Amino acid sequence: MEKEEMNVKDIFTEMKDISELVLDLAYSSVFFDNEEIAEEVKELEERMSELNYKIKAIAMLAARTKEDAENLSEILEVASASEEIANAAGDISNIIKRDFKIHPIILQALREAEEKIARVRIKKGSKLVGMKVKESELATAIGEYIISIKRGKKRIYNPDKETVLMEGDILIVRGTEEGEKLLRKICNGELNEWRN
Amino acid sequence: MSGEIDLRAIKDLLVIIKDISELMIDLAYTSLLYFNKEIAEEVFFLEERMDKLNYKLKLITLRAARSEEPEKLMAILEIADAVERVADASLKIAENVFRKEIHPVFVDAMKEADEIIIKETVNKNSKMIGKTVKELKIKTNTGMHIFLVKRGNEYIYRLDNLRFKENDIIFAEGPEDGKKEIEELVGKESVSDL
Repeated sequence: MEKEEMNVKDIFTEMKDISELVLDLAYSSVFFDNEEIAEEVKELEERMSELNYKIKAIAMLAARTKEDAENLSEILEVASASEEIANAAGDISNIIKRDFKIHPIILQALREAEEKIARVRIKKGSKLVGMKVKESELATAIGEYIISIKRGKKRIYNPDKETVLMEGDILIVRGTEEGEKLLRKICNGELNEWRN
Repeated sequence: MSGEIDLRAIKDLLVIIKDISELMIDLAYTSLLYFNKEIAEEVFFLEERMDKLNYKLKLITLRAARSEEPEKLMAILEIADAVERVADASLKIAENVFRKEIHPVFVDAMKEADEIIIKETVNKNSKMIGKTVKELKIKTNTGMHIFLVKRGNEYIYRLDNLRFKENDIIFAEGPEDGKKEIEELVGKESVSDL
């Protein structure tokens, strides 16, 4: 495993970001029977347990007095609660990997009620390459909101307007069925005009 | 016939439970990062509500199993179990707010150190009534971002099309100097007016 320097603050911030994302993805994977999204959930769950391990290791090294230990236990409690959230999300998305099927009538109704989450890669030749999120107007023009970006091994949670999109980025987006179709074309370089 | 009614009820409950579980996670971290007891209390309140909803969901699912294939309903029980664990975990995170002081790590993790969270009630003379967030240009005018509205027992956080009503409780986050402007917006009577 690559050596990764993180302090407690970095770890906690990422745990919080994962917690806020993972459940959303888990529901979506089940409601839309999407294995790709379930795979994302699994990766996030694994990342979370890695982070929990890191935070425990740091805490053990840092605790010198009884007071230190008490202070650190508070952080560890929050960390383990965060891991529990990711695990529960993992169990939800596991539903589609096992042979559990949700009754079609329920599924149909849920799909109507929910926005769809999709996972799309930006390919070479796409207009999006080199564009800031703000400039891309994906939200205003086609109704697709970027909730996370996977760039190699790195993840960007809640990307801001200034984040520059790059070739190979995997976007996790929330939007409509129609918006997803357009976004796929944009990411493949088949659609170059979509902005208002 | 009754089977179909149960299936619709299951779907409605699932949508509510999904929304509440996501809201609980957000509020739990928010309460911790702002060390805010009011928000933590909302998490406690939601956890109780979640218990009841989950109980109801399981009950209806079992009842539906009389007329539907149980295999097609197993997944619902799995979701109910997982959501219960999410609610408990959120509660655990929020509970830390009732300690003596916040751990410096959580303070450090806050994006903007000078940001605050406020909770205000929309008064009957407020100019917000009948208007949407967009129409009021709240972010532009006050710098504050309203992220949650509580109307009676209902939590609303998809605010795009919401028109404010009297007695709505709003939760907003943003820079400290936005507080006064929000107070003015909700029609809060200042001490000098009394």
